[in-house]
Amino acid sequence: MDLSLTKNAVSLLFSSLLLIFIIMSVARSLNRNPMESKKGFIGLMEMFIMTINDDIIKPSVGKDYKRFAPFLLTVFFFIFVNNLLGLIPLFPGGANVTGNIAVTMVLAVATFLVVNLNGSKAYYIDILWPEVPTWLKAPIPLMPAIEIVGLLTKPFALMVRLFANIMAGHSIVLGLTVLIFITVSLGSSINAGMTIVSVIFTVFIDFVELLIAYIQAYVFTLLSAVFIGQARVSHSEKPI
Amino acid sequence: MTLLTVLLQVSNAVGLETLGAALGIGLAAISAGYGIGKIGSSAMEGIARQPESASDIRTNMIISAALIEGVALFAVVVCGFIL
Repeated sequence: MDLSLTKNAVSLLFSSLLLIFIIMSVARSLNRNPMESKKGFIGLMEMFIMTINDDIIKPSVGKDYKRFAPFLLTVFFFIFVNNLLGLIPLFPGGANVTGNIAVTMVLAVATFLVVNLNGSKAYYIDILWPEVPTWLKAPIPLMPAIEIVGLLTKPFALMVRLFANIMAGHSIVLGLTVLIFITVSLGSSINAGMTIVSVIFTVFIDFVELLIAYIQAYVFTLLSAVFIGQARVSHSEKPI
Repeated sequence: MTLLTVLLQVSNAVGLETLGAALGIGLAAISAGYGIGKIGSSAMEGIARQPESASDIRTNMIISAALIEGVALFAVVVCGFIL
C-alpha cells in the first residue's frame, strides 16, 4: 500500500493547518476578552462565523443547534478554505482538493453519520413505519424502501454537487489555458489572439469561481443543517 | 432531413457514444439555463412587488439556483463517465 504524499494530501494538510491557525487565534482572542469588540481580521472572522451561525445553523437545526454548530461550522470553513485555495495558482494552493470525489465523499459520509446517529425516535418511525395506508407498508414494505433510498440519496447528492461544481470550474480554467498551447502550431498571430482571449476568459471564470466557492460551501452547510433539523423533530413538534 | 444526415456522419466519425454524451451535456446545459432563468424571473417579480424583502428573496434565489445547478452537474458528471 503506497502511503506517499500526493499533491492533494499536502494541500489538505496545509489548508487544515491554516484553518486551525485562523480559528484558534479567533478563539484565543475571544477567550481572553469576551466583551471587547474585535478589530481587523479577528473581527472579520468573528462576524463571518456569527453570520453563518445565525442565518444558517440556528433557523435550520432548531432548538439544540449549539450541539451541532461545531460540526456544521467546521464543514463550512473546511469547504470554503479549500475551495479558495484551489483558485490560487501558486504552490500550496492550486491543488484541487474539494474537486476530488474522495474528499467530498468523506464530508457526505460525515453528514450521513451525524444525521442518522442523532435521529430522534419520531424520525426513525417516519422512515420505517410511516403514516401511510397499510397496503403500502405491510406485505411488501414499499414506502419504507423508498424512504431508505431517500436516506442514502441525500448525502450522495451533497457529495456529487460539491464535486461536480468545483471540478467543472477547474476543468474550464484548464481548458482555456491549454487553448494557448494548442494554437502554438497555427502561427504566432493566431496564438497571440487566442492568448489574449484565453486570459480574459480565465480571469472572468475565476471571478465566477469565487462566487461558486462561497455558494457551494453555503449550500452544503445549509442542507446538512436542514437534514439534522429534520432528524431531530420530536413527536410533540410534528405538524399534524 | 439534413439534421439526421449530419448526425449520422458524426456518429460514423467519432462513434455513437461520444455523440450521445455530447447531446446529453448540451441538454443538461439547456435545462439548467431554463430552470435558473425561471427562478431569476420570479425573483425579479417578487422584488418588484415588495422591494423591502429584496435580501430574503435574493438568499432563497441563490439557494434554489445552486440546487438546480447541482442537478445539471450530475448530468455532466455522468456524461463524463460515458466519454
